[in-house]
Amino acid sequence: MITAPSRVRFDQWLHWADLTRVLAVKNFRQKYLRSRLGVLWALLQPLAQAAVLSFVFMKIFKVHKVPHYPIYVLSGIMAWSFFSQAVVGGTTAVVDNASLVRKVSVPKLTFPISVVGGVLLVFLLQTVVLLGGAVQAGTLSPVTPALLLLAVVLEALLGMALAILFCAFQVFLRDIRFVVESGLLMSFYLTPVLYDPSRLPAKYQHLLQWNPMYGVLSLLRAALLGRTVNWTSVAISAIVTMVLLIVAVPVFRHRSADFADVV
Amino acid sequence: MSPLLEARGIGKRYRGGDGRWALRDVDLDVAPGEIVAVIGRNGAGKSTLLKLASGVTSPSVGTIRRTDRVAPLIEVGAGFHPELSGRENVGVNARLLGMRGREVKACFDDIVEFAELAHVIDRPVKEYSSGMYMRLGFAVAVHTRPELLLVDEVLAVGDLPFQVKCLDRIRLLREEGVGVLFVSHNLAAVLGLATRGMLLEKGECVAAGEPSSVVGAYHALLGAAVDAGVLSDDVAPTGELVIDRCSVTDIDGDEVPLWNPGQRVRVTLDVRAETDVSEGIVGVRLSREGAGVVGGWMASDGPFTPALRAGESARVSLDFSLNVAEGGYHLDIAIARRDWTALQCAQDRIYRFGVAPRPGGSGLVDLAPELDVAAAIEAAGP
Repeated sequence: MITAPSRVRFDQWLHWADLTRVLAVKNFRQKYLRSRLGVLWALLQPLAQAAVLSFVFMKIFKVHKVPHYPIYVLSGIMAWSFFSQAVVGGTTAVVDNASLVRKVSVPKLTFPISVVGGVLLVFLLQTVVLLGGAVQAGTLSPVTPALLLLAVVLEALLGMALAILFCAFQVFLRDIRFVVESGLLMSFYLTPVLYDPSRLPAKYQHLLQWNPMYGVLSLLRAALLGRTVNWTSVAISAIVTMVLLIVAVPVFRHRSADFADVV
Repeated sequence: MSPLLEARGIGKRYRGGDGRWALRDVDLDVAPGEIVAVIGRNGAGKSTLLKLASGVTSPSVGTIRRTDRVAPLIEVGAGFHPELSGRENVGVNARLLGMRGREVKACFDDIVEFAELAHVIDRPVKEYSSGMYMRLGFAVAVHTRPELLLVDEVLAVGDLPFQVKCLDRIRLLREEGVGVLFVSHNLAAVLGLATRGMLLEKGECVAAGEPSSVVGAYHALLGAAVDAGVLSDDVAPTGELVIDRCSVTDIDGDEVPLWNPGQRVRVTLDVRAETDVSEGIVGVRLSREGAGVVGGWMASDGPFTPALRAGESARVSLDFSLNVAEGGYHLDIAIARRDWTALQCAQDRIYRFGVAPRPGGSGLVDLAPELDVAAAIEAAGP
């Protein structure tokens, strides 16, 4: 029967959450399904990258005397790849699922969120390796779980906010994706992934704090390596994330009415 | 009963399109237990109508209200990820169609059994044939316990036994009070299944009602579309005879919206002489749309139309059998001078019509079969 348009019931929200979870797992699974080593690649790739970078910075340049640099750089690489894959994948989520968007009436937010969810699963797996490294280095502390959780949540929400925002425009303007990719490429160097920001001149340190990924990395490395948290950057990151979410979600929902027609 | 779908004056003009109305001023109700078929040529707006019905897009004008439980039958492959197993795809697909997690668990076995895919359910679906895809998609859709099932031209896929199974299931759902809206080019399915039909042309509803009359209108429409490109291969008639009236009915004189194979057709012509005319030979020609002439007959041995003075009239009545299979057809009528020196009158495509399929029939000619099966008789003695 036709029911009067009413507020969405609680169990409907539960259903959408369940759908998003299932799609996220699907995204995670399908990425590694075809390869022999499967999900091991999620670990091998960053490990190899970190090994090379550690060698270059520690043995060749010898400029960087960051304690536990291999774990420092590995955590940076893993967190950054989580962020960039979430943003790029989320940006194209609706376009990539065009056949579904045209056919099934589900909340379109499901698509970017489930992409971020799929990448998050990869990152959680990588976190286990990071924790293993930290155990080896003996740098874990009682606050590690809390800081780690905060870092993961903050990064997931930040990636999700940007993904939703860009996704809303990508459907109508396919150039957005390339702009986002180029932007991320440049941001990589403006984010302390490979280097330690505390070694920069104070002037640049202050500027760098405005990068919302700074706070995430600060939390992550405090959790793993017992470094001090730069709470200013964390606060900035949290506020930026919140503002982005408050803007992105309504914009996305407003535009999603036309997705099925233009995708 | 209150409808499951209620559309009033809906129209759709796509953003960024050419400004054309993909659908215009369409009313549509689907009540519980109804099977409504939408037919029309490619680009007529059928898919747009289904999209509006499913709620993935909203109408530019008009209002549409629908039940919460709508299950669209997703196109082959659209909802499935090729690398994932059938099992995983069912989980994803069922949830996309609104099934809750516990419901998926509860009817998973039923879905697999219905799809007849138990032996490959853990294989990646990229290894499935398109028929297997289709079966799985259909099985999921009918198990979501929809109130309104939307079916988009997918029943053409799959082998015959499964098609029959799908149609049976749709009938069963209908008996349970489910409404079905489906789009098909398979007119046999439309006639066999639908309780109501709708014909769309250029986004507008040009016929609605009984499936047979809607299918008939569709055949007429297809015939009209062929018209423009066809020139008469006959010599031009002199026009000394004029056809005032032509009616084509069954033997009882009733008009037929959609003919059945084997039916007798009665053509009644009133002809009037413009000038004095001699006796004439009546001819009729039956053509299948897109395939040319399938049968013709000239009454060269009479009876002949009488010699007439200017202004006089005569009535001609001609019966023949429609021994043709499903399709769109038209009739041409001509009357030639008895000495064959000229055509007195000729009219191509004087009547356009559709012939319904005979269940189980195939090919171009209707066999008018009569089957008699008796119990086995004893073998003849030595």
